Amino acid sequence: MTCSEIKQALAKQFDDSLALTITPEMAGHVEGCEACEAYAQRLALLSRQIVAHRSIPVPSRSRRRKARHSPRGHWGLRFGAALALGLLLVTAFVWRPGSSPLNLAAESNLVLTDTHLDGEPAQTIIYQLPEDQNTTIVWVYR
Amino acid sequence: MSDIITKPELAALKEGDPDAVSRLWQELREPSLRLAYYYTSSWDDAEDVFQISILKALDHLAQFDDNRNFAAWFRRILVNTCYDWRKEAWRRLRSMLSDVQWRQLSAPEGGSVTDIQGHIAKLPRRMRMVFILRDMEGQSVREIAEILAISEDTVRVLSMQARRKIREAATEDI
Repeated sequence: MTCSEIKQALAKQFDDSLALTITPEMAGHVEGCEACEAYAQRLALLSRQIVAHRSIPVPSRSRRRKARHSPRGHWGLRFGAALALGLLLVTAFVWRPGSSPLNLAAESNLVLTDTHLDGEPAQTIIYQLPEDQNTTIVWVYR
Repeated sequence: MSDIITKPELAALKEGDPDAVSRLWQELREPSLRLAYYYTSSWDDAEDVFQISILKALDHLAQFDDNRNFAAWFRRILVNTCYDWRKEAWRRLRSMLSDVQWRQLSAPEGGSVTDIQGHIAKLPRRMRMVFILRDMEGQSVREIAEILAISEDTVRVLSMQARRKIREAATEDI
């Protein structure tokens, strides 16, 4: 049998039944031909993948929710955004003497929940909950 | 096709018995989710498709003929909801993209889908459903013809074409 005949026969088997049988007539050629062997192996793997996919487990809702909120792939971005915001704030305090959280809040969309502020903060802490879009900024006064 | 629901159970459903609805929900959920996942490539979308399907089924239960096969009837609702989901998903996606982005887009591909799921996702709508019902769900040609309201010959042809396309996609580098 030629390579073309072998490939045609294997393809027909797959299309008819998703199963493969290497007949003794084919075996002699397939064992000595890298291309045909690779083709037969690929089809056999595909057939196994389809069978395996039939019994794919249905994940529970909680598992799906967990996977959806997985920080993988987002942490870098969020950390970067938080860092950038932190640097921006620090720059604002360093380069704009007289700026304070009160001034900053007045100029932007910040909502201050504690207004016992006096002078400039000694430290700025920014954190962001993984499942929350809001960023919380804490100014520390000494 | 063996049915999943007895006549007394169907009567309870038609009367709006919440326990019967709950039992039906449990009975249908897993196989329906799996079928919808094969079609949509997303468990979240599959859950939406299932929930919409069951609501549609409950809405139209009064018109369901008790002598018909409930499983096949529900499958048909599920399949149609999958088709509608795809239209809706594309409509939503289109409204979010610029014309340039839209032209660059060829086919939706989930990043986390397996190779085989990726191959299934690229099949045309009806061919994909035939492949799912026959080769993933193990339904007979006659059952698929009934669910999709097409001839058995068409099912056979679409099934062979689907397998061929998947085979060609998986071996294109050899």
